[in-house]
Amino acid sequence: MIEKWIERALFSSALLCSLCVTAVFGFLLYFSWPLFLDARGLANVFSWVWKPFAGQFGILPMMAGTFSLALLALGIAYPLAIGIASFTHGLAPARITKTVLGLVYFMTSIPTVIYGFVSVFILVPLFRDYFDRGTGFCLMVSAITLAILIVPTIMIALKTEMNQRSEEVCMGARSLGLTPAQELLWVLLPCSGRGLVIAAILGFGRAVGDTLVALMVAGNAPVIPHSLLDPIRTLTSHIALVVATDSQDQAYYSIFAAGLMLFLIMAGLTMVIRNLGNRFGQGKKRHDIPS
Amino acid sequence: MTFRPERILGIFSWLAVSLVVVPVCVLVVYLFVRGWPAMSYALFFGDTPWRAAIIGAQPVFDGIYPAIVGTSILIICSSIIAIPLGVFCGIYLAEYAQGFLKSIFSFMVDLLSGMPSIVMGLFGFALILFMRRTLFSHANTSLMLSAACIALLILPYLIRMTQVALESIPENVRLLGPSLGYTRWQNIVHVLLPSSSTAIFSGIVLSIGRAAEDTAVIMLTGVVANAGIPRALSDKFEALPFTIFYLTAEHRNDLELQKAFGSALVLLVLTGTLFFISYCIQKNLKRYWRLGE
Amino acid sequence: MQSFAITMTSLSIGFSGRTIIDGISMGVPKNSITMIIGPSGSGKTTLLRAVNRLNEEFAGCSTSGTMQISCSGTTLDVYNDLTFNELRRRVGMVFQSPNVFPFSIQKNLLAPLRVIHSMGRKERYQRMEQVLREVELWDEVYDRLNDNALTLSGGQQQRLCLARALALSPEILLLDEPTASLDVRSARKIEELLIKLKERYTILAVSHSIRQVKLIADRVVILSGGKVVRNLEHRDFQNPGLLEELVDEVF
Repeated sequence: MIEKWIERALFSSALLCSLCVTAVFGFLLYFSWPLFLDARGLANVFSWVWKPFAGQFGILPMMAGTFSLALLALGIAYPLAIGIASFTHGLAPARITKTVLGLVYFMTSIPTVIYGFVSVFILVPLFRDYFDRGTGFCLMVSAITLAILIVPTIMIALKTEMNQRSEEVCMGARSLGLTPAQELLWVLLPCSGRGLVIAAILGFGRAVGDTLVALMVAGNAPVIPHSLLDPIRTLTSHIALVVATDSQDQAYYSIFAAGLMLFLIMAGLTMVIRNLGNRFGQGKKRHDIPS
Repeated sequence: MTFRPERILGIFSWLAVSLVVVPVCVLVVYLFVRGWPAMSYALFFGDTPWRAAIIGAQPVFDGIYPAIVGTSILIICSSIIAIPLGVFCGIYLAEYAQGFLKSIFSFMVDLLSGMPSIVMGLFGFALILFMRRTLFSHANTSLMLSAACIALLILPYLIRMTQVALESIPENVRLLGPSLGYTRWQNIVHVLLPSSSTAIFSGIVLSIGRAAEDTAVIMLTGVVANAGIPRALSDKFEALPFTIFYLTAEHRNDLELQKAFGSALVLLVLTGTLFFISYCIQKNLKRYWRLGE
Repeated sequence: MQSFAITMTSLSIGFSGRTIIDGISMGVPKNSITMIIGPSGSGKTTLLRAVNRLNEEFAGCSTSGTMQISCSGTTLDVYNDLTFNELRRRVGMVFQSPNVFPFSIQKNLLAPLRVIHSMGRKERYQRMEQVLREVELWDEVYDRLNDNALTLSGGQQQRLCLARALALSPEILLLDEPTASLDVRSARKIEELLIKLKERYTILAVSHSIRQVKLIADRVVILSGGKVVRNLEHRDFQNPGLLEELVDEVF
């Protein structure tokens, strides 16, 4: 039966995709496995010192770099995204709204490497001259650049959620005489709670996963940052840097460990989002059933 | 005058919009201002005559032509791998998968779409290491490998786009096939896919944009700064985004800096065009289905 | 001379060039229930939404003619003298299906009070209890005010919406088929409430049920094709069969 074969073919393509994901995890685990067999090796990789020529391969500074950069970028981008989402939800005239939305969607298509590139030539010299300290390649500059990069991700996720919610509450709010701004602040934002969380997680994930901005403007020093003007190195740029320079076997273990870390972080975030999404879905269903 | 938090929200939203709009406009204008003067014959082909360059008779040394060719081949190869796979997967998820299997598969797709591109690159790199250790001691990073990893990167977008396009077909259209006695697959081929083809196509265009811009994957899987035009899929290659990255860090003179700005502008125009095409398709689509945003 | 709470003069409303309401002039007397009936597409809901200008939330709406409401002794032109928000806090509205906000029961009532009337905390709680008693919901929910409003039954949700509208102390209530999505018992409850409420509010409602009209309306307006075709006083439609006959004719 041809129908049966087609279904099988479609099924196997879905299976292939899933196998690819499993293979990514499998390879990361396979190549970092030797570390887990050897307590010393593990302690070496999960330490605070990265001095490959002295035999020290700690990736914890990169973890610190990744988290400080991602959190800082999220801290800048998130309020901006909420502001823009509110702006496009009735706080501005329709024509400006359309232009702004178009621009935000356009931002998603700007290559990451170009954000980094322009930042190197505009933001870095600005910081170098203004603060007169170091090279200008630092945590703050990369956080600002990354924030601009993740604003569309957060804002589009927010907007999707708010559009859905708005259908439910808009008429009620208007008939009570709430202005668009009042409706946003007192009804729409409070009732898109889960959407707000999901948008933040998506933005955070995007920031953790980005390589190019960190690699180009963060300075890449494998140390723990103490101020916003210190250079940092993230897990992602660490991988790129180590692969680019031919290193010893031990160094390779450490990048696979870094890759594994990234995989686990992202898998964790994905699970949180799915969990939130599911509960959210149930809540919606309950609302839909007429009682 | 009482304290009005919503007024603050209003002011803040204007502020937020300008804080994002201004940098993006600065970015685009800056690239055009600095990149436009670099637009010249020499930017693309260096000193090589273009006929000789295009048929590959003479290598191009100072131009970005090899990078453009590399990026193009990369896009084509990864599309050939990813588009059928992604569309099939999307069809399966939208029309066939049910219950537990569906939730497993869609979790895998979510996981894949969340993967940082550097992890995809690392996967390709690991694949080569693995092959060297086992059967193929001569395996090396190459255009082929990059294309496969990029395909993996854009796969989730394609799957989701296809799935969403199929699932948002209105009920009355969806029931058309069965009411005529079509089988499930006939309904998909003759009713559902044609009515969602524009949406799927716009997803394809968007994912081509992703394939063109990604740098982290190819950095680990075979791109180099000077490779010329690849002769085979097992060759190393140049690519536009990597050229920009490389020249930013390593430019030795003003000419190379000019080249960097030129490449950045070319890449921005390329991805911008792809975005614009997809945007126009989606705009028409909205009018067609009245789906709303 | 009857005193009208709402007076419309040659009111026309169109959406993107299509006329929905075609030159209607009518008055809605104070402290009574006026019900609009008519076939679907006759413009009932649009006419209702013209009073609180909710039509203008949709794209392509154009309005001509005048509408005046008289509130606390003064007569105001809806389209000129009032902002949207001033108008809408004087004119409350309840929709066909209950549209409670997905918050707790008490927040549904407290949030609008706080935002629109900037009421103090204590005052707000008093007002909440008052309106919940007014719609006879208090005894059912006083011990679960923090539960999500979506956990209430359809009839309770609809009464909560009514309470939310009443909380802002409007003078006119607009009801768009308020019992259409409810079962018979919940509908009865709302009808009884409306009879009680007309003592203090002017009620303009769209209805789909002749039974309901006969039971609670003081006046009936029959709408067809965007025009008023009949205007009946209470004594007219109490004649057995008359209303049914008219309805058969129009629909």
